[in-house]
Amino acid sequence: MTWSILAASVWTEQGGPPEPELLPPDLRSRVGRLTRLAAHVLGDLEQRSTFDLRRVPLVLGTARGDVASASRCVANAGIETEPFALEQPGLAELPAALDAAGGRDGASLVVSAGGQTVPMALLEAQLQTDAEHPDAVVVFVEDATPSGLLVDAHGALAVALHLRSGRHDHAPEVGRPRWQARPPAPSKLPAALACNPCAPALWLAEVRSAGVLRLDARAIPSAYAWCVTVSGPTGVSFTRGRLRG
Amino acid sequence: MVGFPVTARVMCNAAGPTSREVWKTVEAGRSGLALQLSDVTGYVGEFSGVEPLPEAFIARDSRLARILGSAVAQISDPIARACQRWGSSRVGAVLGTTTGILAGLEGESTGQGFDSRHAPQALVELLREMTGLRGPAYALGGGWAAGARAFAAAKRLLDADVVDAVVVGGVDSPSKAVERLFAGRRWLSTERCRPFGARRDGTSLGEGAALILLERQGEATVELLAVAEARPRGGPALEAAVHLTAMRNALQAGAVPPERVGCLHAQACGFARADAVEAQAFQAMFGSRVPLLASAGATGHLLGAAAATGVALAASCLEAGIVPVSVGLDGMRTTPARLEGDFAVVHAWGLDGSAVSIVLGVRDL
Repeated sequence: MTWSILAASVWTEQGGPPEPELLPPDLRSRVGRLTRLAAHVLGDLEQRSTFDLRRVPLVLGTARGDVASASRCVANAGIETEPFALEQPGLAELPAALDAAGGRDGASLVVSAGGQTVPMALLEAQLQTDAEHPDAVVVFVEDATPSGLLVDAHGALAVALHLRSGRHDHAPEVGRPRWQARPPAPSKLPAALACNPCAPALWLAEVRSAGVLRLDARAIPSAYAWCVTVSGPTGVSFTRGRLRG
Repeated sequence: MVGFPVTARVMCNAAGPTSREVWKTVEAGRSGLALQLSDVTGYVGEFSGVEPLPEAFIARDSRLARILGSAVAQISDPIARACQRWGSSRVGAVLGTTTGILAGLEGESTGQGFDSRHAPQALVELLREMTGLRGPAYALGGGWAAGARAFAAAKRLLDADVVDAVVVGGVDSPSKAVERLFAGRRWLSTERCRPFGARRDGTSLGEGAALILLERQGEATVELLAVAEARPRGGPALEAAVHLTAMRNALQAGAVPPERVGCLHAQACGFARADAVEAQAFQAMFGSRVPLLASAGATGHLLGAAAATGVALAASCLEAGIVPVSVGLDGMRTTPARLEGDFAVVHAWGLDGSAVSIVLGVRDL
């Protein structure tokens, strides 16, 4: 079975502050930035699609979750400055907030797998589709590296994809993630996003929107890697992998 | 309906450091909850059997990692056999957890090795490193029901032939922030929590881990048959109809008539309204015929590990042919009930009102 990318939405820092209009006004100011980023691209994706995406499964991919909100939650525990975040700490806020937005009734969950978050979330989304329910939405969201965390610095990124099982004219097709014991092909990403665990999703969105790869590449050696093969509308196949862990 | 045999299982929590000891505590109707005197005074289910991680995995050290490590150490041999049988890249893992990030941020090591120790994937990586499994592996978040949703994800991986075996379960430990949040909301019980009890006044938080090894084929007495989830329409709400839909769909998917269900494991953890809603759904689905076990009175509310612990306990019920008394369920039966039926339903729900039902059955040998 193949999966086609029917629509994509991307947000990066260059796009200005996120506009999470999908969220009800009373919720908008109370949720963390990660949820606002996810709501921005999900709202944009829904506007681009003629299909009612509120009825399909939603898979959220994030490696760290909302660390910034979680930090505030820890610091302010017991003080109800952010009631919603306190009730739904850590990874729980994302789906709860998005479910509350616009009356979603498709199943939603958060997948977290470090450097493998993109293929794992794609896999989970693909497995939630079948011939009768061929659509799924997957939202990848990772905030900029929080200050104080000793990890490689990177910028924020949010990408939403509308996947549908089967072949569709002029739509790139995403193969099921495969696992291989050899290094992935060299690839490149914008420098600010090179270490963002969800950056490979940007590549998928680029394929969708442009039909050609426009990304620069950086080789990442690895003894163990995953790969996702995307067949572009031009008929050219690309393979993209990323370092584990 | 294809069932996937439960070829190994382990649980560890305040009721005991091993599956055998947890079962003995639950079977005897005892509680592992103890009074904690701190800034949040109350009864908690602390897992006292936590061992330090082996030196080789010290880079992943955290409270949560130690709890998971205690469980993995007890199930590593069956996982190794599964890796040998199916190939390590055909053995996957799905873990549910909820408050790992918060617990990590509270530690003395904030900022030190966050990704390797405290981010959700650190737990999955630890599992991979301790067992050698190399298939798809990820953590699921999304609230208390994440641990139950992990079973749905695991079954999808097996159904779609992505893996031949999968380690599924949950691990959780309540952070101080969560304890204070619960205390601030008056969600903590003043006594040991009393699931479904007439005098219930809140929950008791607990910590622990439970892991289940599902394989495509293998020797086992119990198998996983079906998992189904239901969600309230129009935003978060606690509704018995949602619980009912999840149970009905799971039984239908497993081709299990309700009258053949002999045991229910409830998530009920002492909340006045949420327990009542869950009980209402059980009553509508099964009447008063099926004995139920609510283990939170023995272990505390295990958050992301609750569903997997429920699965492990329900499997023990099916094997032992009894359903123990639920600690705190005063005024009801005082001795274990004889199990009448070959199937068990493990039910879980989240604060958003979603409900997940997992159906287990005794294998035809």
